[in-house]
Amino acid sequence: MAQKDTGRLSASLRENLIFFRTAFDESSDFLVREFSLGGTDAALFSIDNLADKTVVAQSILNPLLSAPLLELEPDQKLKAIRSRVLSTVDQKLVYTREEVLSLVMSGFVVLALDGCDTMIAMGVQGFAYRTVGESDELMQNGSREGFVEVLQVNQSMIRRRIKNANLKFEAMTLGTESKTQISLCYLRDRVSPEALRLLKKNLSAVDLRMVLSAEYLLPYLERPSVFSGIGDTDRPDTLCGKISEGRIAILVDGTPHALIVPYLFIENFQTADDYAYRPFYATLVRWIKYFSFFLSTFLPGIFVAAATFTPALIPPALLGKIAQAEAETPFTIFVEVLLLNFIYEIMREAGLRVPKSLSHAVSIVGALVIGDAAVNSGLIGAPTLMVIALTALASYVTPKIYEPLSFLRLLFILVGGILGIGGILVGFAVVLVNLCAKSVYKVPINAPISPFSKKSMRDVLFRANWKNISKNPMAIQDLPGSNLPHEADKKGGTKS
Amino acid sequence: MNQPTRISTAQLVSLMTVSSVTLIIACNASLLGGNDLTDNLLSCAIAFVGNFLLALPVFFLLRARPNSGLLLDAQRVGKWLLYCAAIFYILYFLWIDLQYLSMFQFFLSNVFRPVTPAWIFTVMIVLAAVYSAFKGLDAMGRAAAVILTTVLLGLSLIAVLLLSDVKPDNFTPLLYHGPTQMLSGTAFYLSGGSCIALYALLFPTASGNRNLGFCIWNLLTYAVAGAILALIVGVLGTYANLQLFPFYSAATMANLGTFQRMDSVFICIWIIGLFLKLAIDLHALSLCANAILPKKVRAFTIPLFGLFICAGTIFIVNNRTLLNLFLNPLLTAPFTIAAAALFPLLSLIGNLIKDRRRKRHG
Amino acid sequence: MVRRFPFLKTLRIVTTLLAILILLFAMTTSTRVPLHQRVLVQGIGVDRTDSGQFHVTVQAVSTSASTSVEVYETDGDSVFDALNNITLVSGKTPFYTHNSILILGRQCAESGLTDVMDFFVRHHQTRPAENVFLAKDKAGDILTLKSDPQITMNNQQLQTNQYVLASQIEQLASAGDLNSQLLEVQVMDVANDLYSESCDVFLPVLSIEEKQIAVRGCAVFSGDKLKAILSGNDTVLIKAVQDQLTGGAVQISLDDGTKATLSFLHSNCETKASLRDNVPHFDLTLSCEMNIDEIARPMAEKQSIRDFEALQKAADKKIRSVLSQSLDTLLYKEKVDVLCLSKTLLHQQTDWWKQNEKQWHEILPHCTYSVTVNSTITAEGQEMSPQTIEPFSTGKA
Repeated sequence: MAQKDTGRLSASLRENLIFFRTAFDESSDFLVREFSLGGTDAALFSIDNLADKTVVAQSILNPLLSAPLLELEPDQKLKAIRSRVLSTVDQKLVYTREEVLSLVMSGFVVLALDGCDTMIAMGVQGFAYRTVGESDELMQNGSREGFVEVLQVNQSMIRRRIKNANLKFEAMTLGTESKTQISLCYLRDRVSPEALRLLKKNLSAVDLRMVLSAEYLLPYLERPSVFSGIGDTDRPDTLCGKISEGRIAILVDGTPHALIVPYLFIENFQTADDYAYRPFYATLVRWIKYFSFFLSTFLPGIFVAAATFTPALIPPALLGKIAQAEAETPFTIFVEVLLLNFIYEIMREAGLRVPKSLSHAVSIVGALVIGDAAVNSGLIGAPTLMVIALTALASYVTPKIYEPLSFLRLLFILVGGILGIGGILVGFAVVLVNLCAKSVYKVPINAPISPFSKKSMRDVLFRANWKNISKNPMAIQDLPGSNLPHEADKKGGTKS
Repeated sequence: MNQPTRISTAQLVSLMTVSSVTLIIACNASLLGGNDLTDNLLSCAIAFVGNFLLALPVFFLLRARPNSGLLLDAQRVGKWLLYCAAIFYILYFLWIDLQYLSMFQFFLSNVFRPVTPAWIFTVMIVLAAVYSAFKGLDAMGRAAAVILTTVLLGLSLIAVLLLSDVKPDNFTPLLYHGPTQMLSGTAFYLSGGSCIALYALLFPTASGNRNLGFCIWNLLTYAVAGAILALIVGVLGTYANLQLFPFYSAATMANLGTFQRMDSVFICIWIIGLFLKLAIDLHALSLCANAILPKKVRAFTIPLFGLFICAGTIFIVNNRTLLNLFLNPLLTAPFTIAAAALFPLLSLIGNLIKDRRRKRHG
Repeated sequence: MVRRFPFLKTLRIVTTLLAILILLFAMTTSTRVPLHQRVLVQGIGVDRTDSGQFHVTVQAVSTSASTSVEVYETDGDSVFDALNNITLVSGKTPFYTHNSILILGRQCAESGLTDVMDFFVRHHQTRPAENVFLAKDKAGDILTLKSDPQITMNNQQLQTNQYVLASQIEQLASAGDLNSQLLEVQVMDVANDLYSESCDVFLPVLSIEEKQIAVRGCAVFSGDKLKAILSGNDTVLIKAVQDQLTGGAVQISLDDGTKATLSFLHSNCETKASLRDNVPHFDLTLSCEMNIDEIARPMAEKQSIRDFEALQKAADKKIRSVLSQSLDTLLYKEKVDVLCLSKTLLHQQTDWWKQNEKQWHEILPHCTYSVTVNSTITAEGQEMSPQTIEPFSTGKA
């Protein structure tokens, strides 16, 4: 059982060795290399496969063992080793047992000298990790790089893109047992200090034992609601763009994507490709996304409401076909749509979880069973299938909001099937108010649509060219409706 | 004590415009005072000017005390005025909301005839309005901008589709049967204008050029009213006099390719507008109630008012006498004039007297 | 940050539960009718039986794959009663929002339209834009007519024994810009004319000729009762006054015996009302643009540019004659105001109209008129005759 005492280190090497061995309970991956340095007992602590053994040998052990060390007091000896013997770049002094444990488990190698209550930790990480690969947010143009699980690698990808000394990474540790490293990343001259303060306050309230993924933090960062004000991306270029607008990125060790705070609703419709296309085409694509959002949310509900309560909405040419299809199937249109919606969600989940080798079989079964057999056997009608298929396709245009979309779609199907068009309209109004009421870190997520910002329409209603977009860039706290203090306010000026 | 600024003037104007358009689209020959609907174009013009006159006390109050609002100003004059004003406005807004919702349920029962019982729609809309009122003025203000855009786009669509069906011959000569209908129509337009009272209560929460905002609201409202009336008369002619909701009937004639019957657009506009109107009125009701009630009960005001409006509507629609009472613009007009002008005037005069007394006593 | 009372959380939960309860309640109380259990009415025919009852014929979309429409015929004491009785024969609820045509039988029209039209104005599902026709005989015969496979309608070879569809009949009204004898009259127009005490109703007449349905003339009403069925030429007058004269053909003869056919491209009619000895006088000025469709003359003979004038003069004369004849029929013979000349008086002679509106139908036969036609030939097709361009013309023929 690990000792609870994680206070200051002992000057006695023996005591330290006993403590750490007991802490790890003789775990097979905890390595201890004992040796003597000029008559003084010393030891190296590391975790197997977290430290690069070659570097340890070349930069630490070899220099230590071959260095001529005079008879010095242990403290002075430690100082001499640090300044003249060791050839590692990343070195820090550690004073407490907790620090040693944390660093050793992060891939550091720790040197302890008998008679010295301070140890030297050297960053010689050499653990295996997934190499930088393609991002999941597929884009036609632009970078293909995506984040990986290692925090430091992600940080380096951001640093490579923003070569600005104002870019700051602020480290924190969360999870009482996992001690997961997280990093807040922002531009010091762009970020809102108030937003940063609020974020840190929320993060400090995280009382989880294990933080294995960035998603664990979400309930602490905002109040739960259908639409989230916290975004995420696995693309370093996208993240850099967000940071340059005054947002704060949260990188979590072990998670191959970063959280973005705050995140506006309209950003769900913006992708990196939009900024690579020419403006006229980017605008067209943007409007297709807006249209697809409404289509995928409302189409099934409106279809059910129209067919069940208000057939007057259906054009005469379609009415006969829908009525005929309904007559030939055993279920009402409401039940058909609900059923197909669930079957589609099942297929989607199956497609996500199934091993690659079976994915073809799943698609064939789905296509044949749903697309062909069900319609031919008269279980479901072709018009209903078309509606759900169109809805499904439209939902893929905006994958970032798939979850709320899916939930709302189901809600509107139920409301449309029970209360009709009136119910859908009232539901829409409630969702709209809910969205408009939501603020994240004092920034309304519905900005810049409402509260309206004319300047921001250059990237909302249409996608202006880069010359226009880059003119007078707005930081997130400058959006109308934002309650974050402006720099001018702090200097005693008036609000712009 | 200053009330914090929470919405922009544009958002306040959006709230007010949606509220007034919700009444305008439900006009008919009976409410407008007769069959000479062309005369009601003059009513729009007169009501447009009339609104400015009615709002004069509020303008002066705004100028004298830009950040306090009607209730605080009334309180400054004396508790008696605060209580009178608060109770009056509570009754007024309840009357207006019962009127709006009764008209809607009347429309549902007679014209739309949904398969779902009409009272369920009423309950739904009130529940949604209560929810929105709880969400706060900010949320409602932001939603209003989106809803106004939707409403205006919908109205524009119907107007564009019907433009080719307008027949100039359908317009009768102005004041053919005298000025009676013009005056009745003016009463109708002014009576439903609870927005001036709303403006008086909410202007301290709005930032920006509030007077300009009011002017824009007034212009927008009566431009829409005039356009709707012109369409009704031009497209339907005397047929409009036969219809309970002539704009709805006109919308059924609008076709867009294979999509016939744009009346669903009309219903959409009405439901959404009504929802927002009720929400903002519930907020105004809670402001008035909270000014005079103890803290413990303040959290209950919005749901209680919502329940009252819901139950009241269902009761009224089933009683023809009460329905006639509530839908009579001649009865509502003096109520509105008092809400828009009388209490702000009393508040203004009281505050001026108080300020002068203070100056005299040093 | 606003302090949250625990009450609000409870209220939220209560409200959510209430909303769910209402949804469940609505599910149980609302009488949802599936689409295929409705009679999706597309055409309605109303006749009067000898016993005074109403006989309705309804064409509806079929939910069966073997037929495209279903036809129901029922009787009742009123139009609504008769239509409601469809439930007795079909077991389905009638649904009128997609109804596109209303055909009134002759007997129905003769006994008065007021009994019939109120349902179509009042019912919440009916549209004011439904096209209205008068059947020369029975409305039911038109909606139950089955096509002969030898005959086509709208260029479509129909299946044997297939009903002539209501949508195909509706085309006859919508194709008004193809022929000056095709009228489009909607429920709203009929209601407006019935409601107004001065204007009279007119309807296009449908008749069955050799297993085809055709529009033959128009019916005029006095009050709400059928007065007369007039020829297609009279329809031209009505369309001219409505500025809808397009597509119709005018056959003219020149002095040298040449026959030509012109068609209307566009028309504009201005009606001016004046008073002569306190009796209204109407000046109708019709300006129209025309196209030369045919000239029966050998192609080798090229006409000169001055032939346009001759053609225009001949067209003016012919059109004026047609319009005058129709005006004589309407004003002096049938004494009906289907042209809504009363509205012209209302706008242009308001004071006079105020004093005399109640006696309008007595004054109508005493009104006088003049017709001026100014036609302009703006197109002549691909053949250059008469010659449009004569660059070396000396002005002589």
